[in-house]
Amino acid sequence: MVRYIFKRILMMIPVVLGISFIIFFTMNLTPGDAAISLAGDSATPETIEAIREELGLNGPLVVRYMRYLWNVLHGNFGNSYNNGQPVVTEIMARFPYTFRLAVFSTLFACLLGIPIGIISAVKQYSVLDTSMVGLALVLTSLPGFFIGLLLILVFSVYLGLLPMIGMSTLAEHIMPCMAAGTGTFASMVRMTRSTMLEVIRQDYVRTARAKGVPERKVIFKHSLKNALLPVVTAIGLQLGMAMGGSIAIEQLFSIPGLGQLTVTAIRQKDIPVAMACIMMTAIMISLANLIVDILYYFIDPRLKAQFAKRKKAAT
Amino acid sequence: MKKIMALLLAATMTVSLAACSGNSGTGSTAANGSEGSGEVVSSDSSDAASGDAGGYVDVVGSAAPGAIATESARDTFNFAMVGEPITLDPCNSKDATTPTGWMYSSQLYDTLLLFDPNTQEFYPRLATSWEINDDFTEIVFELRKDAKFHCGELITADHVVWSLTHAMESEFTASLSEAIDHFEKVDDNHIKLVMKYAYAPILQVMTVPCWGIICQDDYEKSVAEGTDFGRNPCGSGAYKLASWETGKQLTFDAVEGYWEGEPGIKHVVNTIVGDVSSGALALEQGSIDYFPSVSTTDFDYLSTLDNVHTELLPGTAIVAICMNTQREPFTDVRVRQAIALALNREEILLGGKDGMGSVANCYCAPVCTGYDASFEATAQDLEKAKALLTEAGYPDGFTVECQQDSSPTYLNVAEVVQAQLKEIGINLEFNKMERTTWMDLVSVQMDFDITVRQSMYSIFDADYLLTRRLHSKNIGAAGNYSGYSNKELDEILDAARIESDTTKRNELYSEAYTIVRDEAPMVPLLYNASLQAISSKLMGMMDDFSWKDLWNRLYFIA
Repeated sequence: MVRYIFKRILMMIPVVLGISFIIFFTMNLTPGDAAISLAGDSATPETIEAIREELGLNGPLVVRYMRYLWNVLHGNFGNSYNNGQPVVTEIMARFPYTFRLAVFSTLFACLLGIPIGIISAVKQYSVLDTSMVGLALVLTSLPGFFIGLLLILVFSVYLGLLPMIGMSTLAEHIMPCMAAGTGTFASMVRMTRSTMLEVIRQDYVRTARAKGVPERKVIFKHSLKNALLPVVTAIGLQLGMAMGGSIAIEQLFSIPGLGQLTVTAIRQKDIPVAMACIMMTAIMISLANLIVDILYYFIDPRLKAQFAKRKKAAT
Repeated sequence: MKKIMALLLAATMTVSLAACSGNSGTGSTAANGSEGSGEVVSSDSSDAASGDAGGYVDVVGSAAPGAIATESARDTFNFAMVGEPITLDPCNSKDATTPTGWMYSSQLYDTLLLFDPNTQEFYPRLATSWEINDDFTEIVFELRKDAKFHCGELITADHVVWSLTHAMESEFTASLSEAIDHFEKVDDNHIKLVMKYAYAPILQVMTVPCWGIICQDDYEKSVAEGTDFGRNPCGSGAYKLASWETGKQLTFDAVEGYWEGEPGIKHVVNTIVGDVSSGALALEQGSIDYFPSVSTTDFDYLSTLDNVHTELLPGTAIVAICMNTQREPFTDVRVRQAIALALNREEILLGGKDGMGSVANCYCAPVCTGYDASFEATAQDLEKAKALLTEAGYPDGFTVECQQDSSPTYLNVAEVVQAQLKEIGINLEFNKMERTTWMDLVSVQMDFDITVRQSMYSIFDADYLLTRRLHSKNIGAAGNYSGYSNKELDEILDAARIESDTTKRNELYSEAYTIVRDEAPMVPLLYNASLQAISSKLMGMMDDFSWKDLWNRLYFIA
């Protein structure tokens, strides 16, 4: 298992390298550069050239890329072209917001979505099931920023109960996390329901019931574990994606997260910041996938058995 | 198995709780140094020196615009901005010449003088008086004796000369400092600005906040220690930076002992919002008192609210069609004239800017010195336009690529222009691109045919855009990206920029507008507007359309 994890972590290196290569060359080969953006509308050609020289944008592309990689390997991600701040400082100032938004919105979605999905499956075709499936369908169709706007309108503007800017206090977390998590919540409900329905119709569940196992035990012990496999995958992927920053939600609630930073950096051709943000997102998604795979090992006895078999064969 | 799952769950909860309870992780920066304790004087600078003539003309020495507000129902002023400032260094970013930068720099750094764009008058600030020599090439400023930096150090002539020279050497002030040769100390209380050539708008140039006086010792210390002066500034203005949380907010405190007195507004909180709608909603909700970037849609709605006061201030930019006069078919003046004749500016204003702004009558904004209100723009005449096109060899019109910045500011206007030109057979095919690419293509490489562009004023003088955009010496990346060359226009612009007689200057500019209208390398369409909104309890804001309102002039009513 440890070897497997180590191997997977090593596999992330070519992925990150590939991404860095693509981003670096794409951003550099498109017309326009950071010097033009930084110099502003009133700039003279001398100003643009001076900034270009200062940022080292005049050197050959390959040399610049190699220099960039060399610096990154030494832990130096460079300074932002936009404001001269170290890239690491810029990212670390924003990561806590994105992290909290990702974790809490996913928690909100799971803690609410999975139980509702289970109840819907167990009480199939009941009023609760029908209404929850309907709600999930509506919420899947609505983008998060729209739900965010509705929440702002009701809870901030009309009722004046919740603050609409920032994400520092507990109250400031409520609306952004709900808006960011609603889509995941809806897919959790739908996914848990459908996988549960599949599982509870299986023979072993029928056997368990026939043996007189209490219904609660049938659902939670025998069915849920198997039904959760695809749900765990979805949670992992969602969490990984959310760690890259939710641009629309961050914009709407004025949260200084990674999503906003990434978009601004790309728009301004702030290559060091854009590279670091995108590479970080890639690492997050890879890590989330890895965690899901590890969790599979614990949830799915077949995988555990496979590893045990291999270990036995090796000895 | 159960134990492992429990452990995993516990770990997840711990991480989540740590994330919830922990500090946001953003840096908070304390302001530098202690407050000054200089003598508080009246804003009426009655001690303005009269100065002996000796070949010099004493120009001004009257009271500053607006008096400091010492009483306020609330001592904290909250405002929101879309995006945070690049830096608070007044001269080392592109914000040196934008209203966003001016808003911050005006509070943190005092300039030598102030300019009231509404009355076109100059007022003393760090300089109590100033004298200009007869040939308009030297200005001597007398400095206040009681002004101090935020660190408590007294501001001397040496400091001022160093700070102004430092600003002049910045690449970001190049468009403003081209006429300046150097600054020198005359004595402990006087400094001299020496110009390379006479330049009529020089006094206005010196009021741009990028010339705000910064503390030399503190700046040099920042450089030596490798810290960022722009995030730990030490200035000479009425407010100092108290904290800066990246991407979230900046806070400012009034400087104790500031020479103008103690203001009613003691603290200022600048919240960074993600987009214009968030700012408008925050204003409606009452969590902020001022938002200077209201969208046209929000503006109408905010205008209906009792707790919000909205104002349509004159903008500092001109929206114009720019044609590459070095490329077919725009090398032919008849084609350019036909385009000018095909346009209906009222419709463009309505369709492109929701009616917010005003139609342009010449290539100069109404807020500028040298603007001619009586000048008549080319009126729409489709028949004449078609006849000119036929004469130029395009009886059926033509199709041309319009390289366009894809932001709504430009695109909305360009789309109306596209519809209007279709009526005379000219088909604009859009090649939309993001701003940096577009700027590179249009402003730097001149690799374009036709485009709609908004140009900003850094000083409110006709010379600023006319010379940059249309003088043949600036063809290419220097600003004249239409590639237009006209010796007669060059001579008029050269004469106007050194003419100190305002009447004569205005006459010269009217001649220039006529040439621009008849030759049409640029077709001015609209003057933009600045849509601003404040709490109805906030007073003293929005007097200056270029966002230079001083916070120590603001106050709240109960």
